[in-house]
This record gives sequence, C-alpha cells and structure tokens, in this order.
Amino acid sequence: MAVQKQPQINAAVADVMHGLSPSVRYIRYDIGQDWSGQWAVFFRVLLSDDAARNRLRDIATSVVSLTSERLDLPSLGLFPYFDFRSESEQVNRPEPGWEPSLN
Amino acid sequence: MSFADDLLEQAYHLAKLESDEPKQACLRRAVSTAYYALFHLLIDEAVGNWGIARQRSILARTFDHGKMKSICEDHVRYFYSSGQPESGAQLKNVAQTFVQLQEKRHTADYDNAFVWSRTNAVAAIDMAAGAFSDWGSIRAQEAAQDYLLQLFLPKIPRV
Repeated sequence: MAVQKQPQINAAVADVMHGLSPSVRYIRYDIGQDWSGQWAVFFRVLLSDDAARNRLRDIATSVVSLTSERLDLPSLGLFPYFDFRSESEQVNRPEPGWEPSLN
Repeated sequence: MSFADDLLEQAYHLAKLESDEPKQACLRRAVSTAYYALFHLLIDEAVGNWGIARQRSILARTFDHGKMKSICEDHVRYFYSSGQPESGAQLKNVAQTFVQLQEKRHTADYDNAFVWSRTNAVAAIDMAAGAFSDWGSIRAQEAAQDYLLQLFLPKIPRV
C-alpha cells in the first residue's frame, strides 16, 4: 500500500511546501496504522521559528486544509494526521524522524 | 463558561506552564485535555437536545470514542467526494479535528516514546479552538444537528 500511495502523497506534499514556503520548511511522512488499526498517513511538518511563534494557528490550519484538498482523500484511502515542530525545537532536541533527508 | 470551554482553557494553561523547557507530562496532559474539550463540546451539544435534563448525563456516557471517530471520518470523506461544498467546510473542519485530536490523545496518553514539542501541543490545542469557533458558527444548522444525531446514534443511516 505504501509504495502505491507515495506518488499521490509526494505530489500533495510538494504543492503544500511550495504554497506555504517559507513558513513550512519541509514535510516528512510515514504510512502506518492509527490507534484503531485504520491505515493512515502521518505527516511531520517542520515550521520556521517565525511561523511557529507568530502564526501557528493560521499556518497549521492551512497545512491541514491544503494537504487534505490535494490528497484526494476518498481515492487515497488513508486518513491524514499532522504533527508540527519548529526549526529551533528540532535543533535543540533532534528527532531522527524529523530530519530533512528521510523521504 | 461551559465545561468544554474550561477544558480548552486548561489545555492552553498546561501547554504554556513552563517558559523554557516544557515538561512532557504537561504537554501530554495539554493535548489529551484538548481532545476532551472537543469531545465534551460535541456530546454536551448532542444531549442538550434531549428534553429531560436529568437524563442528559446518563446519555452522555453512552457516546463511544471509536464510533464517533468513524462517523467523523465518513463525514470528511463525504465532504471531499461531494466536491468540497463551501457550505460544509466548517462542519468538515470540526469532524476532521475530532479525528486528529483523538489520535493525538492516544499518542499523548499511551506512547511514551513520542516526544512532544510545545509547537505540536499548541498546534493541537489551536485546532481544538478552531473547531470550537467553527462549531459556534454552524451549531444551529440542520447539517450540524444531523451530525450530532449521527454521533449519538452511529447505527442510523446517514441523514
């Protein structure tokens, strides 16, 4: 399932990153199961410090809305989930899954 | 303020409690509380329609988290498959936020390996606040009331 869905997800991610740069620095994702066992895509969105500090609600809402629109959820068959982190949080407490080179 | 409003306020309070290095315990409780704020907002609205006030708290205990999630997922898919009608955008946001927050609640409460950042916790609470705001705008609409009925009675056909 993961390989089949990746082109559709990658296209959505590229669109969102293009549309919301420089507030959104990059987006990583994994496909897995949510708590109920349903297949889902888990996005990790790294934000600029300025966006995280001053426009978090607006930018997070935009990321969720725009990504959901671009994904074509009914055909994707995966529910999207979103986590956010600022650049300085990633620098101060690095998490491997949030590094830029994984996908 | 309602109980749901108090929970939302409490979530922000917990997320912003420490200025420098927030404790994971505070961030986890903040995220979990944000989910319960939205959960209680919706069930209070649903049972508020019941005419006999003393029975409402009993009815409130019958809501099932998993079934509510399923109804919300269906609602979000239906919104996108029907061409994203502008009139349904706010209700879709409420439903999508409910699903998001429920997953985050599970992570916050049960996954000790997950490291919460303040940005992530506050973003989750902001989502809940956005859902509160959206709900306030649409709560009297027929579609919103039908949605509440489905949350309450998940086995009934889509209204």
